[in-house]
Amino acid sequence: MNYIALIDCDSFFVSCERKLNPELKGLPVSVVSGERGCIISRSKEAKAIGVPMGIPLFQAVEKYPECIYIPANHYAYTKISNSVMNILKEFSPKVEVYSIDEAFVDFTGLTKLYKKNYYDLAFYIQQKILNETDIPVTIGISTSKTLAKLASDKAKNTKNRISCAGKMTSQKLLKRTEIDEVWGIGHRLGLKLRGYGIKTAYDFIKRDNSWIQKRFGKNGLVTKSELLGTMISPISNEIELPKSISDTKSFLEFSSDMNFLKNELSIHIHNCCKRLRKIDCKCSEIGILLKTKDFKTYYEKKELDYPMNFEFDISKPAFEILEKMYNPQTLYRSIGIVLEKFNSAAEEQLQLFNRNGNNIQSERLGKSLDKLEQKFGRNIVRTGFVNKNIPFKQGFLTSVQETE
Amino acid sequence: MLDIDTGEQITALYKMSQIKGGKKIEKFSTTDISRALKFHKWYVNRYKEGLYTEILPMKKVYNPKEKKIEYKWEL
Repeated sequence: MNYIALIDCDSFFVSCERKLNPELKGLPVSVVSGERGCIISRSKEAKAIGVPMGIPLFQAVEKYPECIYIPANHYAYTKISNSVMNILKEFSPKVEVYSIDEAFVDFTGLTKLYKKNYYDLAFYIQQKILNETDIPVTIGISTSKTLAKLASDKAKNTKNRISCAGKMTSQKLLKRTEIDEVWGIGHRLGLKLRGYGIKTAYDFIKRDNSWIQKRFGKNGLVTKSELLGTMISPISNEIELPKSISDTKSFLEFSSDMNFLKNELSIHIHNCCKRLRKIDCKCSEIGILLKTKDFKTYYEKKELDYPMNFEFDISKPAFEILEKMYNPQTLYRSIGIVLEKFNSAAEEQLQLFNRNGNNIQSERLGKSLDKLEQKFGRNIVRTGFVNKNIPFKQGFLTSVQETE
Repeated sequence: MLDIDTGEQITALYKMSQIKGGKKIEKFSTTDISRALKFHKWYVNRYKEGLYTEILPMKKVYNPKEKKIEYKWEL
């Protein structure tokens, strides 16, 4: 039998801010996505005041003034998340990083190695993470990923924030769990299941396999088996290629200035390309996302002539799409880019009509940019479109010509 | 504030701004977090209105034209 632990960082973004500024400990703190954004993480104290998740900042400052609102610093959060995940990788060879603040760890056999029971082992890991990274974590242990997730939700209400769901406790847990709280069952599927009279997770596992398969297909059966404690989806520590990479941000002020839009888009292209080069991939499709002042969203895609991962190559088709979508009489609130259809750069199909010379140059230049950023810090060299009349909202300091 | 790359204590600028009518009006800025928190408390008590707190760490930036290191606040 396998034993799986779900390690979930508590109010992760707030915990990161508190690690960087310890004076914020004990105060109601919320992290917002930007000054035009909304609440994305709340501390325990902020939750106690009643600050809801997802509320826009301008409403939050009016309704809950006593809370401290801090803009998100995702660069720092990623670094802290990596250090937490590295500690987990010291304990087990199988660690699946599920999101920035969650990871599944295979605990099978670790009790013999560390001479501790599962609860004590979880406590030891929790303390080690707290001591080394100053991030509090909640741990749920069970025999499958779905049950571990439920155990971790239950652990949030316990004193030590650790919960083990064995055979007997998992039955009790399933009886108390609403069907739409189960991992993989969302609000809409939950409504459908309620229509069939299934209110709790326990009601769901009592149904026949044939009944579940007929109505919910293979995924329904997988969820049932996982709820029964059989691990169907194993923990994989292989990094899967993402299906898409996107980068978007709201402007500080609404704008209909084409040069400003291009400038902002260049920043997003640079961020995406950096991530793409990090996983050694090239993309074959790009999409531009434009959101107007009245929240209308426009999205247009384009298939690229050949796979690419360099800023200058991607910005040409991206600007073409933007020019097509652009309406000078509309005020825009945000712009973004989505890169899709990834191929590994090592397995790239070569071009018959030679573009390889340019490709090699682009690759070298891209890698050099990354190395410079790694050595001297973020945004030390910046690429893209620059119009000197536009104020530096996010700060593009050097022009393309200067960079080259 | 701690530097995320080196873990060292670095100076940061704490900027407290009012968010009203889609605009950001800076009310107070200091390099001392305890002063910033005190101001926040006083402002909330006085005006019954929340503030937006930006934390800008001090960054070392090399200026290639002047060939010297400069310090600036950067988000």
